[in-house]
Amino acid sequence: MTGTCPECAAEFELSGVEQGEIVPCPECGVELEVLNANPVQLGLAPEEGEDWGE
Amino acid sequence: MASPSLLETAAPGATVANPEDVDLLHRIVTIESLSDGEGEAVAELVRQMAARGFDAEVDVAGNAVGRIGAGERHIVLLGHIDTVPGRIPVRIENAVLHGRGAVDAKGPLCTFVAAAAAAARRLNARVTVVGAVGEERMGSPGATAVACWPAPDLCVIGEPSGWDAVCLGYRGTLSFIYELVQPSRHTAGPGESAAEQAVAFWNGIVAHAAALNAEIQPTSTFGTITPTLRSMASDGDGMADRATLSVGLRLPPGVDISTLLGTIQALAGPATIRVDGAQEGYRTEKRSPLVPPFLRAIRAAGGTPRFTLKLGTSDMTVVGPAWGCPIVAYGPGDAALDHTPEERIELADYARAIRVLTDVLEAL
Repeated sequence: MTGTCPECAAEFELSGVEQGEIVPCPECGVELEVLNANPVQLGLAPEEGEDWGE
Repeated sequence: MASPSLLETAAPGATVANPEDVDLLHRIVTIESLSDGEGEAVAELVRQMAARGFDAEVDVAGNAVGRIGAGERHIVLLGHIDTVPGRIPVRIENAVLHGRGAVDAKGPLCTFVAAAAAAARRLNARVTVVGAVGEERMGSPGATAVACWPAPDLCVIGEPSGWDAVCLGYRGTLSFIYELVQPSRHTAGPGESAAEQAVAFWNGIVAHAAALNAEIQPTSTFGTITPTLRSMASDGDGMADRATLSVGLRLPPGVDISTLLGTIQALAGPATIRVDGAQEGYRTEKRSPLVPPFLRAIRAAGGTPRFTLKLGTSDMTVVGPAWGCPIVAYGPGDAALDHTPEERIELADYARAIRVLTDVLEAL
């Protein structure tokens, strides 16, 4: 299956991924979330926030 | 069962927690459980877990431990039942439960119990829920005992990430007491007083942390070494002068504590350094096998998932390095309310977190 990076528009092969999995774009390196596994739909992965609590 | 007065406060149209789940949280929050005084709350949690089908007991460390489900894989849900001091009248107003520990971390702990019970018949794994003692005090004895168990396949730490967020890591901590005692001296005479030397030591700690941060070049506060002067005192009786400092450092993962302590000892000169807490930071990656089911479940519950890194410390830093298994922290509540007089949790968020974790456990 082929996915498209929403950041750089690169198309690349993906196999055996599951919905919710985080994968890197092989072209631009950005982290992507598999929003749908079949057909593959990719979105930018949630970013890491910080807070001071426990 | 929750009293009618508890149930009728749920906001109409909102995500409403199961009355039994609200009753569980209300009961556990109502019982005061400061570190080293958790016995009554632990006993109640064991009773509540047993009533929900867990094989429940108090372990040798004093933790509440409940086991449910069957399967090859073992999942540990590690929460803590102790709280910091500060009595907040326990009440439910406008579907918000107020009380010490509602967020940190009885809300997440009761989420674990409720979700594991709800998922019990569809579990493909053995799930162990732990209400650990002593997380809020140095040494975290409950989690330290649990860390000696064989490593599970997966672990979730019960802390308030927010119902729609997955926490990936915590900073570590090093805390110590600096004490300098020297013969009393005339203030017009040569040399530095004990208090002056203590101040110089603290300034040295700040400068050393700044130098390490310059080497690390952190891109976030999580990656930064942060020193804190917690308290200071000095006195004398005419024979000896004394100065004491209580110092804490928050440490990003990767900082070697023994090397850091060597520098601290050198800066302290003739003063003594008594370490009262040391735990290296720990973080996991977004590609953890625990992440996909959480992201799916949060989206299914109507949320937009987030990742968080915490500037404080939790039991993830105790069991994470010991077990090396996939690990994240999760639980409802706003961590900004931790340890404050305003501690409270929205019951809708509690309900959403139970739904999310139930989905996660059924998927694993």
